[in-house]
Amino acid sequence: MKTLIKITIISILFGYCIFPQGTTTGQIGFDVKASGVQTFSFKDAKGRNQTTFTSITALDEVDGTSNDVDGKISFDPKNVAATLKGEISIATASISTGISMRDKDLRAPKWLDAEQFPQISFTIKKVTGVKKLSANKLEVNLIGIFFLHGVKNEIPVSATLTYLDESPVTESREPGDLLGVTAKFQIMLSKFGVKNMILGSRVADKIDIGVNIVGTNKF
Amino acid sequence: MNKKQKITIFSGLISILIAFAIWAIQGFHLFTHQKVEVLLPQSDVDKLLGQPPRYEWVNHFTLGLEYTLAFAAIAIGFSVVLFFLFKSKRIINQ
Repeated sequence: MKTLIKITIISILFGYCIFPQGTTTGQIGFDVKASGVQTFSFKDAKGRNQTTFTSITALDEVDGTSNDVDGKISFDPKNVAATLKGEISIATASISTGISMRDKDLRAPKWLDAEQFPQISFTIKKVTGVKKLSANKLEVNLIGIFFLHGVKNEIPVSATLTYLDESPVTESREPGDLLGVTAKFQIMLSKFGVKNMILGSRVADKIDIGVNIVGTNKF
Repeated sequence: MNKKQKITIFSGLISILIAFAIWAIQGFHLFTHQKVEVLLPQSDVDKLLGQPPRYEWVNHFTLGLEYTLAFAAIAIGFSVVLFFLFKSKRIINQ
């Protein structure tokens, strides 16, 4: 009996040392009705899903958006860390910055080359941490593959996932359970083979990216 | 300098000043924008999900420094040409 108590105490202490501050990659998930692996689609015909990007230099601040978001994310709501996978992408040609000439330049071969690389995507590779913020909200730390301009690089992303069970309120947007995803992360354009001369003066090498999307499991 | 030349210089300066005033009022932008970002009102579902507000581009012309400088250069060039044209006319009249 004493041995069992000792083992239990040591296990608890060991677990706490490895996963401090409530962050864990163990079995942690949403307290929702759904069970089993759920797949959410982020293709919204009304274009309400949005990604943003911002470049700030001494000369200029460039803000851009894309509402042509696609992709799927799947996971078991009871065990997100072990089951989360998927890919989110945007159409390269859909990026808008408020200046038509600049948009045209962005799509050109010397910048993002929309013709050769029509998609910019992020694929989840690994979940490094999950923190439960509330019954239906999780903060997840991910490592993923960001694909831009024909180059793939691993980047860390911190995202917040919010799960809503289907209800008359959620149906006003889309049928099915809804998953809201928000994330902010940064990429370096030079690491993706974009080495334009303007880089660093008119356009920053470091680009801040924001994700603000909602998906449904009935599509 | 005759009266027409004075009017030419005065008109040129005023038009350049007006262009720079419009540029300043519209926010000292380096580049001309055809659209501006506006925040969209959040839906009830977005509020429940804790999603931040989304942006939408709306047509709104904002004068940038590049067009202002181009206009100023054209105004100066035009004024210089007129200045010499009026000078020549004065000599002929005399």
